[in-house]
Amino acid sequence: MDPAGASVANAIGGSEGEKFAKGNIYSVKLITGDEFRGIVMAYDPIPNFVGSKPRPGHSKNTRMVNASFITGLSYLGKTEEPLLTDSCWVNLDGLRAKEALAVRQAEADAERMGVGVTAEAQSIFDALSKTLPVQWEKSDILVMKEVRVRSPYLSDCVFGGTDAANNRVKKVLELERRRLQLFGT
Amino acid sequence: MSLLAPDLYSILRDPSFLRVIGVDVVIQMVDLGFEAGMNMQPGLPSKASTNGSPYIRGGEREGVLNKAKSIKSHPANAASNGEAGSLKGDSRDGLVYLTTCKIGHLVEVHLKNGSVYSGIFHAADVEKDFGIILKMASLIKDGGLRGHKARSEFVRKPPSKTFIIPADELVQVIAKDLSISSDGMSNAVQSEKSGELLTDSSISKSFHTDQGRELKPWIPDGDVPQGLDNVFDDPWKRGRGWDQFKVNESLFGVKSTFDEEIYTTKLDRGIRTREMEERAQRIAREIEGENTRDLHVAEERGFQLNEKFDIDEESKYSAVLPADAFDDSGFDEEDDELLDTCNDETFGGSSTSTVQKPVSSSGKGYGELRDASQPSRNNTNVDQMCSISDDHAQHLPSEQRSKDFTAPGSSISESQMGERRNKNNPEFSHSNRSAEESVSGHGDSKEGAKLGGGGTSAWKTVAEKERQVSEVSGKPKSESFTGQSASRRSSESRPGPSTSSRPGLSPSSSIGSLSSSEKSTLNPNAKEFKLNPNAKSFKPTAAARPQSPMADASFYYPAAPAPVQQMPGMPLGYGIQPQYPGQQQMIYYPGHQHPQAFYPPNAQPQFPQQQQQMMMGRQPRPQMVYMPPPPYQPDNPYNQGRE
Repeated sequence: MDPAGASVANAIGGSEGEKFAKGNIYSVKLITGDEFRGIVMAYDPIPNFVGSKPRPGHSKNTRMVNASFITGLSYLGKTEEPLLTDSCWVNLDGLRAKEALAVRQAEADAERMGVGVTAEAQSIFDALSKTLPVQWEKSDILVMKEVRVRSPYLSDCVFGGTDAANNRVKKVLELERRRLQLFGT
Repeated sequence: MSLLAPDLYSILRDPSFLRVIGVDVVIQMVDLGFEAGMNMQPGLPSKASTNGSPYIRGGEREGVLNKAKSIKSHPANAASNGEAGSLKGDSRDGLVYLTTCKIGHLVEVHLKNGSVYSGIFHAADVEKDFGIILKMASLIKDGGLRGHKARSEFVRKPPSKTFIIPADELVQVIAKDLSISSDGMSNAVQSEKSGELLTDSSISKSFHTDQGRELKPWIPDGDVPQGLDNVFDDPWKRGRGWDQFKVNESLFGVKSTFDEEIYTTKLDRGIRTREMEERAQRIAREIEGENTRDLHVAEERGFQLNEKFDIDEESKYSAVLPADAFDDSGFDEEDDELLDTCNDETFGGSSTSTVQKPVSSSGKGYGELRDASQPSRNNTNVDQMCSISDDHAQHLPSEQRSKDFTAPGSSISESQMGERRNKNNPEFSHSNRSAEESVSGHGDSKEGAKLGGGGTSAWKTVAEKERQVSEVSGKPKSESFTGQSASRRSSESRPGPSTSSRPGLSPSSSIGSLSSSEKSTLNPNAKEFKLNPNAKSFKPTAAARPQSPMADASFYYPAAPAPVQQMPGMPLGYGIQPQYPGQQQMIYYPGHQHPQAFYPPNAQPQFPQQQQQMMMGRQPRPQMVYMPPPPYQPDNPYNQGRE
């Protein structure tokens, strides 16, 4: 069938049978330039989505592909059906918990990401956060809630805090910068 | 998408505009008419949730209500049920299953414009065209108008809380490391394991191991000797079937010199084996069926010893038990009798036969000790007492029940004292033992030592107490003591001031009890305390005593340190403790006569005298006041109770 939308060039072998039948192995090329191989696990023509899993031996990346965007398709073979829908079941509670957990972790990570800061700034922040409690404040790094490191995050951009804290932050900043230069990010 | 309000939908339709909606959108799911094979979690409530919304339900024919704030909820669409017909059910099912597995997983979403977003898969519109919603999505690769920027210049943006991607833009969704198996359990289990509670094994696990690999039974290749399949089935019956030594010898020529009988007792399997076996079994059963009070033994035997189940593992297995940790009230009565008999034996039974019931649960082995402190004690039986305490520091004096302890009618103070002692560390007896040996002839002191609390300071007190007690009894033992002790003891019988004569006791308890009542409980035959001027002075070590909380300083000398006055024959060497009506008392011993004997034989005798003197108007004391601390139980909660 010809899905509406983007044109799909279907290079399908003749002996294939139903397109995107379960168990078919395809090498797929996408409109984005992505290429991969996979075994068809599921296919639904209405939304025109194909779920595929890579061939055994490759990394386990399960994909859901919008077939509308497949630019190239070559049939590679057929294996047995990888998914037995009859015996499939999902633990929704577990999934929910998993998602909640992932969201929590992502939020925690987001805290550590600076908004509108350069990657260099972010790497400095990350390096500092290994040993000091740091948080973002706009584009300043706030260390121990006292010492502020302003852009461009050099040693002379350290303000505030007690003398001891200030010096400590300066020192750590210097060392981290040196380390970053040596080893890259 | 039919779910969203039309205006919103149109905005989303705009391919170049992906708006972040700050509101959590719950995709309403319509029952897709699953086959029975698709077993979803049963009984899923159709609640609106912002995470992991139950967007797949099995068996129910109503839609999930959508409580999103700005989105009009779409009522259940019964009509759409028919769409999920059996024709497309299979393929739809597969896709839906795959999609479900992705929930909560970090996915990468490729868009038509080349942008790549990474976020947590939240929901997908399974009914229509598979638009998806990501949570905490962040742009990884910007395929937008600006083209591909160098990563280093890429200015980060905060991740979007909720990110809706219409299907038109969606090219593919990649879930990395997602194990799609028929068993949905693995998904959840994995996530749980990698949850916030990281176990050691999960932390240290190599990332390359297969978590959900399929296990196959091991099939041996040819070299394995046969007949081993059932070797471990029944180790006793078939033990003869496999002789490792024989096999070793045959295979490797290793001669073994193993003789089982070196390691175990050879059983006499003779004619009367069966008889003996049965007898042994019977005895074993009897023993195991015995009533036991010990918590651990009971647990091994499977008895529920303690009906109170609020005893946690720590107190059961690892905490240091105070003497009456568990409710063994049943033993109190036994203990009392024991104590009485023990006391009698120790003290020659001359004491009054008043049985002193322990006020509180006596605990193990200390009940007898407590009562042993009664005035009527026999010096000669001190050794027995010693042995008792030694052996039964921790155990009930069950074996010693033969001993006849009477509980002489001691004052309540004594029982209280005993109680306090009961709470003491069992180790106290051990420490006291050494002291006992060094102090020959001071049997009472030994007992007192046993009776006192843990710690040297404690048993000093006790020794003191003992002396007092013995004096009261007027036993020959008192002779062995320096006269002071006797006099001291007698002072106990005096009203009022006598309270101070029991410095080793819990002051409050002893005083209160003494003053309140029972002079009658004191031994009327007690010998009056006579100061022995020739008594050796006590020279404790110079080390300051450990501070122990004084229960009630008021019972001690509240006065300022009295001047030290030399008594003839009494060496001046006692430091007076800085006596303050505080909770701490420092015992300072300027000298120490016996390294092991901590009690000042001379100081105590002075004690009551001085106390009396103080009470009577602060006459100059002949000696420094020795204020022994109460039994050393700084942290004992039971002490406080008494105070």
